[in-house]
Amino acid sequence: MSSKSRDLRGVIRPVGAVVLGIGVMMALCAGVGMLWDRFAPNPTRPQGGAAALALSAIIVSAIGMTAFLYGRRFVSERISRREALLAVSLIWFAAGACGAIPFILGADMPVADSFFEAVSGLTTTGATVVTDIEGRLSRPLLLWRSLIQWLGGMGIVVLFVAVFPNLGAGGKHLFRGEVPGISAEGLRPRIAETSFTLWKLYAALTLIEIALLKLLGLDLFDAVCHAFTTMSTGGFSTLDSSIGGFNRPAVEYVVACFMLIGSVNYGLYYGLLRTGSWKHLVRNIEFRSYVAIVLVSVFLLTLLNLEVHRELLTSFRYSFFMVATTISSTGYGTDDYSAYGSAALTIVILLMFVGGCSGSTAGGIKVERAVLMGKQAVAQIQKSFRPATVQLVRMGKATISSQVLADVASFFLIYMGCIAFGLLYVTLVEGVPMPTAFGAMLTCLSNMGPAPFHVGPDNFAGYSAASKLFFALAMLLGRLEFFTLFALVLPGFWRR
Amino acid sequence: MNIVVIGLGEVGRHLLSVLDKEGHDIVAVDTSAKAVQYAEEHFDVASMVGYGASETLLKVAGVARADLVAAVTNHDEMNLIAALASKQLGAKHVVARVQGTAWSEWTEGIRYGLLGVDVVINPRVLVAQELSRIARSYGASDVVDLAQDRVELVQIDLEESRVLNKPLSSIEMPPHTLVSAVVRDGELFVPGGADVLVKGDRVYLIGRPEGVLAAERLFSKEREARRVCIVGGGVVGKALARELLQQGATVLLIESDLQTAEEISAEFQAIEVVHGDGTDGNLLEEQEVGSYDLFAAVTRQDEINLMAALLAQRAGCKRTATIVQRADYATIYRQLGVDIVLSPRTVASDQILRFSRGGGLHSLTVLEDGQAEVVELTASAKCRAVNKPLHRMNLPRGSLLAAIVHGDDVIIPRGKDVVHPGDRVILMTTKDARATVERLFRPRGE
Repeated sequence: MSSKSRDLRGVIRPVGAVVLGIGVMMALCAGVGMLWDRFAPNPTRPQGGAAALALSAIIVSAIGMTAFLYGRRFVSERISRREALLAVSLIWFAAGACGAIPFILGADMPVADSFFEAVSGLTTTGATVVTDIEGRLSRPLLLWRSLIQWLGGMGIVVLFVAVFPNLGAGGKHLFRGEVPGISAEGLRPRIAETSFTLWKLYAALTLIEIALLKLLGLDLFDAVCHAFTTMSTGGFSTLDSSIGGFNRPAVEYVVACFMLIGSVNYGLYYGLLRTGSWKHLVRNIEFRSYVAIVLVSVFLLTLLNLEVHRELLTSFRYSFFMVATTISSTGYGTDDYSAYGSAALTIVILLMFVGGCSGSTAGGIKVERAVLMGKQAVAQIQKSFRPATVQLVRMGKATISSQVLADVASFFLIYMGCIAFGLLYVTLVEGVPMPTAFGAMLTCLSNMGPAPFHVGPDNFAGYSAASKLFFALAMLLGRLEFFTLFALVLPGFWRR
Repeated sequence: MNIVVIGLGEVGRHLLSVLDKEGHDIVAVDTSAKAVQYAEEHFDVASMVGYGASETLLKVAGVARADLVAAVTNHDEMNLIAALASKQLGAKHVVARVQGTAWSEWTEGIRYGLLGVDVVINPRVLVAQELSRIARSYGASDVVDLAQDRVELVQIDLEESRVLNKPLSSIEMPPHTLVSAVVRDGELFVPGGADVLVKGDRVYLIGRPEGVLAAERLFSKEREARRVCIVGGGVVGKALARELLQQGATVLLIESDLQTAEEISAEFQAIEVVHGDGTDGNLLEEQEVGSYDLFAAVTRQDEINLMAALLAQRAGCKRTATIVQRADYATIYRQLGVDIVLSPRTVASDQILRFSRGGGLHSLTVLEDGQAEVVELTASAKCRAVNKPLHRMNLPRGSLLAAIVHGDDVIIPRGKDVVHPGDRVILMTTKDARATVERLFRPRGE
């Protein structure tokens, strides 16, 4: 360790702990998968996979345990801001790498493909490189694929903070590294309890959805996997044709509703449960805007899609699902939007940009940021002809500080910058048309999944290994909302 | 436990740091966004910017569900109103701090139920009382009264004396006293019979007051302070002067503000008041501070206190004492040679922290920056430790049952002594042993 750089080895232990945890999850998944194959076999699916999963569990746990024990000598009393940012970044990369191992061992996938698939899962993007899901992935592997999406949805670091309540203010720094911006933080005074509450709500909603899907006649395996990937607004499916493959309107409506539920700020649900009144929810500006966006888009899309679907109810069914899957950045498919008209497609793209509410599992810019940017723009325009008036940006009763506004503005700039850079990279390296590159970048950064303007089959299998890693990085950037990962790139981060 | 801390000054921050480590749900409130941001950054607490006595704010902060509300801003009236409002909104315990000159006629440092506030503490008066007890002692650098003055805990920094360099078991301790802890190189430990004391150690003696006084004579060459020079005629100075006069000491008070000096002179006719600057070396020489047994610099400004104490020391004063607002400076003060350093902040937080533990603590004294603590509680019939002899109580290493107050009787227990239900016990525990000791004395099923 040179004297000019900082000693950040305090992160080894927490990262080791998370990796160990992932190993345990893997073992659990292998066990459940094996029991499932034993007692409720499904011959139409590929068999095996549990052994590969168990082997991966051993490897990952060993690595995690080693880091955990080795890191003991570097433990700092309290995790600092820098350590937190580094730890969160490392945790996500490590989780992606560990999550990839079962795909390498169990499904014979190339390393880059496996890493892409695991990161796409963890970041709840849901883009896939597997062209033949039903023929290639066995049930334990599918369960693993859905489980990592579920873990990544509410956040592995948030789970870590919930499980280790003694991190103190360090836990807060970790939490912010993964859930930056204006968020669900502050449900409870202690960050560990906040994290635990979020996970409880998340798990409860998931259980409800599993029960509902089971009631609607889905196989328990499909119900669990899809509930995992709906609540996390991830979008991995066990079918090649996604939710559309069931071709059951009731299932579609339930899934659509849970996607919408999953992209609302969880803090509002907590407020609802604690006070028992809808006041907090209904008065929340972000929630109102979110509902308004959903209603208007469903209305417009239903009208526009009458051209494709002819019948009003059919058009509503597909349009509603499309809006839900897009604004929540889930990416399940029931409808093929390559058949959409330009206006309808524009709505889809815009929804993809905006994404869900802050403090939810959805990706994108977030409704709150979009609303704030709009209000800030109006305030600035007003200033041009009434310079002396005090122009405060408000969200409900709360005044938003200029610090937060600057934060939102820089977020948007970084977002657009990433899209621009990505466009350049993808068109240059892959030689695909500009709209295709744009669609791919947007879907990765907003953790959506399917790429609009795509030529050929709607997944990422066709790209080179380097580009897959590039897209995986884009997904991580989007999931961690840029600041955490970009902080590590600045030289000042490492200097004393 | 749900705790609301209003006011994030020195006391508030200190409270947060201790309470955060204990794992409570804390809401921190202050009018200054900067202070709130500091708390946000360093402690795992929820925080709010706002006026601490506002009803809306208190409601949002959740005082209705709070087990403890501590109002410790710099404004006495705000603290009282905030505490009162919290109590009315349903907070279980409310504590307010007062400290200004308006409250300087207080002779007790703590009042219960004043205006409906559970506990009102005046840390400055408490500090003055502690200083006066130190003045009365034979060379102690800190004195804490426990169990309504029936038990005393004193801190002595060892210089040359007869007790050094021999095993503790061969020291003939006066009856009803014991050496409860030793601090060597900053590390506190509970000594056994084979341990040897060396020069530079700090010991904590505990026992009945008369026994402790005899023990002090053994451990230190100093005698009680008959002549005391005080610098600063604020709340602390006045309270200290009052206490010392009652003890029959001769008091010289130096105050830089003429009007205050005159007021004090009018109020206390028995003391000599000098109008002048306590950091003026010539003045100190003139007043022959070197001939005083104790020099106490107790102005509101840390710098003045420190300089005055150092000057007095150079002028030949044997024992110097200061109060310090920033408690983290205390170590440096001692390194510079100030014998006694007390902080109103620590005194105040000790008083507040005992409510955070539940189980009805009568007092809590934190030793050596939290390395150990002395707690005083009533043993309930339902706890594990009662009705069995001490040697079967399974007290963990690093803890000590220092005294049992049974009725009017104070027992410094040995192996065969028994704690009866309803007895008040005084326990010393190190940080590591605390949880186990708490389990022993917590009523079963709680």
